[in-house]
Amino acid sequence: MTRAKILSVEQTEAVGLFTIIFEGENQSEFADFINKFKDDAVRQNDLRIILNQIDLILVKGVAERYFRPEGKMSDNVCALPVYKSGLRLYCLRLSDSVLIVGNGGVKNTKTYQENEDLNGYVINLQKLDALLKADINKGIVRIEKTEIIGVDDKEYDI
Amino acid sequence: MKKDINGQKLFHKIVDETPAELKTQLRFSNAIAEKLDRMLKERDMSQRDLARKTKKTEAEVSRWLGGTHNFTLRTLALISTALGEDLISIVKQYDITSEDNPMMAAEAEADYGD
Repeated sequence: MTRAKILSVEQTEAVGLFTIIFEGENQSEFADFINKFKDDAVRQNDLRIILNQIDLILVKGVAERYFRPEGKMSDNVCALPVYKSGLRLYCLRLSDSVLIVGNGGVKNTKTYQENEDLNGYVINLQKLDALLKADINKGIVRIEKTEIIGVDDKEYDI
Repeated sequence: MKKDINGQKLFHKIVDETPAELKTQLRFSNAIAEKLDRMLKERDMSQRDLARKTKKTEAEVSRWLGGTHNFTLRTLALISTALGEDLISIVKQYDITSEDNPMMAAEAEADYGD
């Protein structure tokens, strides 16, 4: 179990973009994802596609159709995919205006569960989703338009 | 310089440095996906309905709507036929109004909505 915090990446009129950072790490999961592929000659273009989609989402909103559902029917875990190459960035789509981006990688197995790294990224987001839902139900955390209120100093055991 | 812990600066650097042709491709893909989404809503059709009409899987229709799909003319024709409306249009402009300018200019451009 590791402690994690939710970090704001960017706020626009339409969208609040967040990521997570684990205790003891010097960069967020989103930054780690970008750094893994930015100099990779094979995946660099796919990384650009995903990041340009996020750039568009920041303007247009977090529409469901941009994402591929992952995880379970009962959670908010989804992925921004590049289908041909298999590059996936796993996310939590909390509303049409709030998106938490996690980590990701290349899905070269039939299911993400067969890849230890990808399975770990999805499980982390599933746990965070469950903890956030519990806090929202208790009234500790609120999602208001593009903001997640009440998580600034909050640490989650994931 | 402040450390880019959340990755925001790196994210924008890569977006800014994306080659223009890839940006154009994504603009077209997203415009087509947006128009398809609008056409489905206007017809009160689900992704499943379109999958049935085009004899494709729901996963394939979901890819079309994702905004990064590299559409072939065959797929555009398939969707347009199934929905009874062209998903893209070709705009032709002919300048034949002046004898001094007998050149005919034809320009094709995708109609990518707003």
